[in-house]
Amino acid sequence: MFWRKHIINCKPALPATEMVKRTRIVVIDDEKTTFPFEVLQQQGYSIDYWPDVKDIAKLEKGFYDIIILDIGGIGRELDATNEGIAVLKHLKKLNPAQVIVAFSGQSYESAKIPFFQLADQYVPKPTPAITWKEIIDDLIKTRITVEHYWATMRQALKDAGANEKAIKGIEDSLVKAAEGGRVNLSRAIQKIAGPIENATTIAAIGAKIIALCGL
Amino acid sequence: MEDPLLVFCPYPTIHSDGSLMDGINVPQSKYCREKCRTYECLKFKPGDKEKTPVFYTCAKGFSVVVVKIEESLIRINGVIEVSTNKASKIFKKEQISRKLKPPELERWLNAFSAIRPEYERYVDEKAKEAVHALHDIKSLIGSVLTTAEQCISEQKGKTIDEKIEASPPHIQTIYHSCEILQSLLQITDILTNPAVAQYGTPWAFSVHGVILKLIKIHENKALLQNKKLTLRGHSINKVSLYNSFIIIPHILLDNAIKHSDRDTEIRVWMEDKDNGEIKIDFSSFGSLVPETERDFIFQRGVRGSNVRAKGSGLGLYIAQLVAKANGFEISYRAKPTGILGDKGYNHFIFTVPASAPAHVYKPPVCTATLSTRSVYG
Repeated sequence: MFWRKHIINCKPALPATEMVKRTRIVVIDDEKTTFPFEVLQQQGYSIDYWPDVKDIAKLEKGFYDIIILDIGGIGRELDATNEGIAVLKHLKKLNPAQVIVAFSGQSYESAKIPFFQLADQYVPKPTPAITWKEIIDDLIKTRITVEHYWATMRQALKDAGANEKAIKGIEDSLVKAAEGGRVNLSRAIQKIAGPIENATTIAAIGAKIIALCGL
Repeated sequence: MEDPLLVFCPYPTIHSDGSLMDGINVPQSKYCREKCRTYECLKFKPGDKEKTPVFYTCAKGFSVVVVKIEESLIRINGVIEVSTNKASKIFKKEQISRKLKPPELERWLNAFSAIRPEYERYVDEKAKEAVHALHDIKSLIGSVLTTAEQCISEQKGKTIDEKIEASPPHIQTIYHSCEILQSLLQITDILTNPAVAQYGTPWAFSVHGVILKLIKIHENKALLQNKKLTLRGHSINKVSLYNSFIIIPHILLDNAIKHSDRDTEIRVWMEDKDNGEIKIDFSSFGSLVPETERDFIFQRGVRGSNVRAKGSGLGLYIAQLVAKANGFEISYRAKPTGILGDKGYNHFIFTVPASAPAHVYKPPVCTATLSTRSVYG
């Protein structure tokens, strides 16, 4: 019987310290002083700081592996009422594989509960560096993985109406790309699964998988 | 501004039964709260189908009425004059000015139903104001914490833990104080919105590490009262818990320090079970919770008559709420010494399940395309 290689078998075994360095993190918070940048950067984490959502397209394209998002005081220009919640909702709707941590000192409003629950993790303000380190390490271990991205990509393909055969075909393309082959993932998805609505998003998740495997 | 509930109800003995989210929290009568202590009225619950007020008379002879307004149960204790009310003379004397007859009750309930949306809006507004004020406090504590951490980061050591250990004592004190304040703020978050206990995703916790860290944080406070904090047993199991879990050991340690006798030992004992669970026991020596009160100490606003230190009666309630959110329950056990009257060891025991809470990771659903601009136009 013909042996098919699965994408989850392509993952490289990178040491945790290397994953820490390579994971791109952005903190979006109007108050810079509530996040322990210096301590975590000293521990080897790659963390950028934005005082507000300054480039939504960059977030949409999945440039950052982990987005640490304040809920109040950011994103007002985009949605004055819902602020960070609107950013969280938008990004998760667009790309469910995007890892987002809701970092907030305002958890009171019950109307916002469903949106807080969209986040991969919730961290109350203030939180010490040592706890942040544990939380980020856990996210890297459980979310910045081929398994997580592939599970989300599979689900997105299913939701878009792709059948099992098409999903297998797309997985084969991913494996080929992960092993260094030249593959235009977006085009491959359209070719195998037909014209599907979320092709660009799905390709963006696929690109994350290829990037992880190529590490 | 006067509380609208009190304006409409001259009998401030309403105790709301249910979650904190129903927005009503007017305490029971002082007599019920401080002198009765049988908590019999709290056991009384009408059937689910009851729509009209249900009357009940407790052993002390006080009447209780429970009424369901929309989805909330509202319990009015001890002031209803109905035919079954055989209240004692002492009680009648104490409560004489607060008697409420059935027709008045009906009028009050109608009035309350009518103002309820307005009342809830008012409570919501007040809570938001308090939360905004708290936000500024959180930011300030965050700044102090970050500054302390910057000082810590300059110390010798590879890991953050090593750097903390190498820091001067005054920096460690500031750092640990900020951590205690942070836990207290987390408690207020849960008090204002219990759903916070299940925010985020459960993640692999080293419970031993968390408790060891908390013991270090609380150590100084205990030493000031000549009390010693010790951790016995060991645990290497990692269990899946929400971030909120840390509040439980914080509350239990804080309570033990507050309510135990001077010159005693507060002991945390841990043991891994073969099935991956972790059994934890917080014990301290002091006055035991009286037998009649043991079933109620986890209820909101209930304080054991054995405690003398000031408190709100919310700590154990919140600890239990967080425990349930994490898939387990805390139980209380008293171990009398037999020679010191009501003194003995108070034990708060819980078993953290290996996979608490049952959390099956499901990939989220993708429902929009990259070109969607629904939010940003």
